[in-house]
Amino acid sequence: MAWRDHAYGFINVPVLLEQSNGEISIELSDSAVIRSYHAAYRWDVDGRFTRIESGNAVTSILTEIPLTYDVILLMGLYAGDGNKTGNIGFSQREITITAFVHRGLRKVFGENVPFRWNLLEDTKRFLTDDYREQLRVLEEELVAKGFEFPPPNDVRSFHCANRDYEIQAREVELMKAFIRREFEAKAHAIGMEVDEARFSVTVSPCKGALSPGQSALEYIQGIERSRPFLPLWLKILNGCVNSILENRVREGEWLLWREPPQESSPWKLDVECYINSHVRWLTSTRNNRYSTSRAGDDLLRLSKRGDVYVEVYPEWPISPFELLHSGLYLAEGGTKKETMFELGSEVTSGLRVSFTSSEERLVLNFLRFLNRLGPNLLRAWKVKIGKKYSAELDILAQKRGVLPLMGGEKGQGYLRTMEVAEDLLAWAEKYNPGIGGIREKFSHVESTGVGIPRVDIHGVNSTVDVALLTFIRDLMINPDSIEDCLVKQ
Amino acid sequence: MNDITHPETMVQLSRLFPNVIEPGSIHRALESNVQFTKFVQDYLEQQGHRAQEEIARGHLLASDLFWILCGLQASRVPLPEELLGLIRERVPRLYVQSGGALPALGYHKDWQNRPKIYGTFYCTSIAEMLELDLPAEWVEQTARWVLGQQALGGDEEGAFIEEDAPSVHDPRNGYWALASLRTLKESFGADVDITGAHDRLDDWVSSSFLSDPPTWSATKLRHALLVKWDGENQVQLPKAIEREVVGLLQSLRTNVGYTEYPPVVKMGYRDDDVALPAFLHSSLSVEVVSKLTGIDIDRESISRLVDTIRESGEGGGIGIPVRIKEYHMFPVETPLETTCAIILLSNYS
Repeated sequence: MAWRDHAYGFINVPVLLEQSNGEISIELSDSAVIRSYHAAYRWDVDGRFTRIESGNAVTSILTEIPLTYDVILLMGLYAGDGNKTGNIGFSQREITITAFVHRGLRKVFGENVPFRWNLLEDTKRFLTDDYREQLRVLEEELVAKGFEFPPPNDVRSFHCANRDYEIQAREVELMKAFIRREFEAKAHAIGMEVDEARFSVTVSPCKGALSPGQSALEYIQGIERSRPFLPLWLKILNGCVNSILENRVREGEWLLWREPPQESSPWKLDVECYINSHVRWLTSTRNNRYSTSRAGDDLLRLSKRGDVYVEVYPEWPISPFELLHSGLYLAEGGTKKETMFELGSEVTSGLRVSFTSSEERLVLNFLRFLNRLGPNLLRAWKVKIGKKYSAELDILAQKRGVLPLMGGEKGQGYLRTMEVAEDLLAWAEKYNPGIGGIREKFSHVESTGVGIPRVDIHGVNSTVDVALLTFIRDLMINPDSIEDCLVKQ
Repeated sequence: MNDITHPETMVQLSRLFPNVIEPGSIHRALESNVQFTKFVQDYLEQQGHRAQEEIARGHLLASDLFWILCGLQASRVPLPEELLGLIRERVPRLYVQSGGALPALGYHKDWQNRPKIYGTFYCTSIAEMLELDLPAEWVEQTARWVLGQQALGGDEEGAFIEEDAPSVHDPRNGYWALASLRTLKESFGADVDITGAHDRLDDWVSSSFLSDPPTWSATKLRHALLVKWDGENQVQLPKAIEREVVGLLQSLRTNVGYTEYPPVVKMGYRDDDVALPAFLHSSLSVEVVSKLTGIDIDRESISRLVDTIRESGEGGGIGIPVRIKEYHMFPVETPLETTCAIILLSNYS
């Protein structure tokens, strides 16, 4: 059997429902908020799929979900960017990941499950000459096709960040048409079909772009009328994630792994084979490859240039643990996703490996993930705190009689006040006691984004970046390249 | 023992909190609040010991040290000779030869080893408080270095700006720069004319900071007014600005004390509606703002806050935690907040 068809375990949905008498309750911690879920279900096994009802709502789900590589990746992706409130759904800006999740949800919930799409973008993206020109051309084209735009005096009002905005309705409609067309082109290019009838676009100045030309694009997909089934899906997801992170072979009787999921790697990746056959990156002048050499039996040296190298293990496990973290990384990793998918085919820059989470166990397990690929890959970590908590950050500084000195152009970025950095290090250690072992690798505090305070693994050895990111990406979109270099254990 | 507990030595605190520091009343308040006094004295002594150990290990934060000294001073705890000896030996290591002072020792990144305005303020203040000798050449270099941090042109002309944070334009930096210059001139004989720097800073406070009320907070406003205060008369603000200040103070008021930022600062960009709590240092800043401008505040509210701290006696030190969702952030109790508690107590006993 090929690796890609191998089921590392199974989830039996009717058994889960029987064991809980159809009453599913679950508590999840997300962004330092604990959410409780509860729902009651009736179910009827109908061959491969089980029909489930909650009130008047109905859905179907695979009776037995095989935990193959793609389903485990889906779990990791959903744990990161999946919807935890409302309908079962997923939000991403990168089209390949979006399509992968779309296929995965249809595999689990059935090919005919109805999806609704919403595309979001910030109007600031269009405030450049280049985009204005593109909108002008689009407008001409649409007018020629008979599209009727709202009159010039029709204005849309927005309020956010303590400011009021007014934008001509005509411009808003043009931006929406642009986003829609862009999405359709991308979806078509990778063979993803989207039902046009279940499609909406929202543009607003409140989506988070900070400057003209900057995008805050999000593709949100959701299974229609699936809100009542979210507790069941999150129970399944959480059982899968927890059993992997805790290396348990079962979750009740409804989730069974063939082996402890962190040890279950019937195949391992021959890293030298994989690196030499499949890992490339382009610069403006040439196609680049790693040079590899053995450092004894236990380590493989990878070098991008000269005598700068990183040591990794010659075989990488491909267990549910690696698959889950690859999914999580594709959702929440700090690498720009577009860049990951351009690696090897287009000139890329600004590549870096980083991972942040407000959940200690995810941070610690990401470190374990790195440690399973090579020794000493971690160089530095920091504490990130959203700019929207700048009032709190200022007060923390005031309590020491100092002020937050941020290096960024807009009062954001690298915090250069060591008193506050020390306090946030102490905070990080209190809420993430497991990071005590890497205290000496604490680098700094950064005020950025919108999130609550969290640990950010940002300094991973830069020599390993292309190899690691290509591996994570190929697990999802290019399993053939992985198959090429597997070693049966 | 070095007698920093004599009332007349409470100069630095009096400058930071003018018209609310009356050493006699502080001491009377402490005498009539035995439990509170014992508690804060124990805490500050403990902080002094901690600082001593840290300094001995080569780790020193000038701001922490300054506020520990202020706390010891305010709560009438003599400074141990051993700590004084360590300070005499180690504080000079903060001085940067080309001018200015580091805020800390024991750090190794480039930016941590560049002088900062606030580091210079705390170093010069500690030196003044403990009557340390400062090298004459460093005094002159530092005065020039501080002056060199003032923007001479551009939108923020007059503001004092840190090299590592060029976009941070804050009245606190301005006040600390000016206070450093005054100390260097008046206590250490620096040959420097600070009138021009002061005037430019005053202009910046009026034209930039005070004209942008959404950036205000209690502590920032206190420092802005300290820049404008002539040391005797109330600060006269234009009517429109005064109305904004009145509005700010009203929006900072809670039933028990004053908070630091008005709710609109959070509501403008936040989806949560959890208000910031009242803070001791914020309430004290509001008290100073009121004293410097003559604007009425709700002293009953602060009085209720003082009632809650008067009974303190568990844990260590005094402080009101900052929360972000379910997280309790650090620090909670600090020497600064504990010192603010002592000062508030003396005003509301």
